[in-house]
Amino acid sequence: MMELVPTVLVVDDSPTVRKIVQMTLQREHIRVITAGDGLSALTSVADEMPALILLDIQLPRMDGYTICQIVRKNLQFRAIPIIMLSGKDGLFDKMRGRLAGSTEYLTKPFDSVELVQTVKKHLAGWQQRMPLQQYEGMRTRLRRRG
Amino acid sequence: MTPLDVDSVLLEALRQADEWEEMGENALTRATMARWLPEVSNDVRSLGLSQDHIDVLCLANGEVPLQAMAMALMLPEARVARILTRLFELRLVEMVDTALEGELQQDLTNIIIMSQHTLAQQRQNSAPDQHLLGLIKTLSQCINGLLIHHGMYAKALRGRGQLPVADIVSYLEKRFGGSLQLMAKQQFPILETASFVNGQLDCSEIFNLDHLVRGEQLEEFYWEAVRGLAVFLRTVFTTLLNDEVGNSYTGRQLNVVWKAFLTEVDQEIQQYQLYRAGQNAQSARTRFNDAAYQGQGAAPKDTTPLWSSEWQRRSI
Repeated sequence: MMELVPTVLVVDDSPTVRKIVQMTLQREHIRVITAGDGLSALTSVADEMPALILLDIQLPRMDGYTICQIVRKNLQFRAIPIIMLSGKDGLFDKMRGRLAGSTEYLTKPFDSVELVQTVKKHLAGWQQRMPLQQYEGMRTRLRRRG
Repeated sequence: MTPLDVDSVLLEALRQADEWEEMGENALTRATMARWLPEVSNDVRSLGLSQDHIDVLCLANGEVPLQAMAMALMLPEARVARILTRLFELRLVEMVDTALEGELQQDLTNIIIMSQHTLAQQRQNSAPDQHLLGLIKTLSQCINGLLIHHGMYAKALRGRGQLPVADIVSYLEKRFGGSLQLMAKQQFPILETASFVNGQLDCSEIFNLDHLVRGEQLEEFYWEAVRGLAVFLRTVFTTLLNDEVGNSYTGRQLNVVWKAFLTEVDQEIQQYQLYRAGQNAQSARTRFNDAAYQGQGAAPKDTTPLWSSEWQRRSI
């Protein structure tokens, strides 16, 4: 039987950061999808219902704070943990991130081990957070593939 | 599913234990993974290998453990171990140290993250000369990060215990000093001012160029340094990756990340090229207008043509 793996959405305008996070998390058997701008990120959230979002702040088309607020206002997605991943390390930025609804704030340049630990911490119990409908849909897809 | 017979399981375990015992002193274990050496270029058929040897060689991609090879080829594990030892002696494969590779992958990843962060920070410089200086600092920081990394993980330095720093420094200088000198001699003379100090690339003379020259000339020097360091950075990374992980899954993954980073560096370089092209076009237009106003009817003979080959090359 195929194992259910959590999906993490990585939103960053830098292709390097996207690739690095993808490579690092895939090694830990976590499925990774990526988005390079704010609008694509929202589309991916709606389409894939990730178990966690890693979100940069400075993004083209829509900034990270706005995305965070939109996700938090939506009943279907509000339980998704959001980790802000930003080059801004001031207290004001961290506070703003927290007010927008982020679960945790990581500062760039981040350490790959720290990133994995934080992601794993927030992924604990991800299946319980997933709405039943979504969970069943995922199982069906896996059964068809397997 | 039919449950396995306990006797059969125990007999199989005994058989495997006997086989491994017969192998005697051997560094290989069931979890050992091997991969093709990148240097192999000759036709392996000429080495007179048996079909089993060739089958094992085909599976030695650095991801399949010895135990899985034995299962796939339906050969005893001890036989696969003997074949792998033979292939190793023939220098066709190398044994993969997964723990070490994981560690070096993590270290390289952190260097790239750090360099990308520095690159993103220097984007805030609005003046072109500061933009170039920022790029020089980013590139040299990345090169030095890679050199420190290679000092820890180079194949030639592995398994020799705690080495004296002088040995590591001399290895790094021998490995990369030659290509830096060659580049300085053939393409980028500005790199003659950069040198290796304690196994690190010292670019302080380039950083302090603004004390010696100003304006266009300073920009010209910075521009040459950026192009030179970008080429040297590529050389260092390619050499290092080939040496440390060769043609492996880890190597290919790191290459993908590296290419993404290089794309970002190239975008920064292109941004300056576009600015430069615009500047050239503007000055050429001004000169042409001045000439026309003075009634000469054509551009002065000593000016650079608007679409010179150099201009076109840089605007691509």
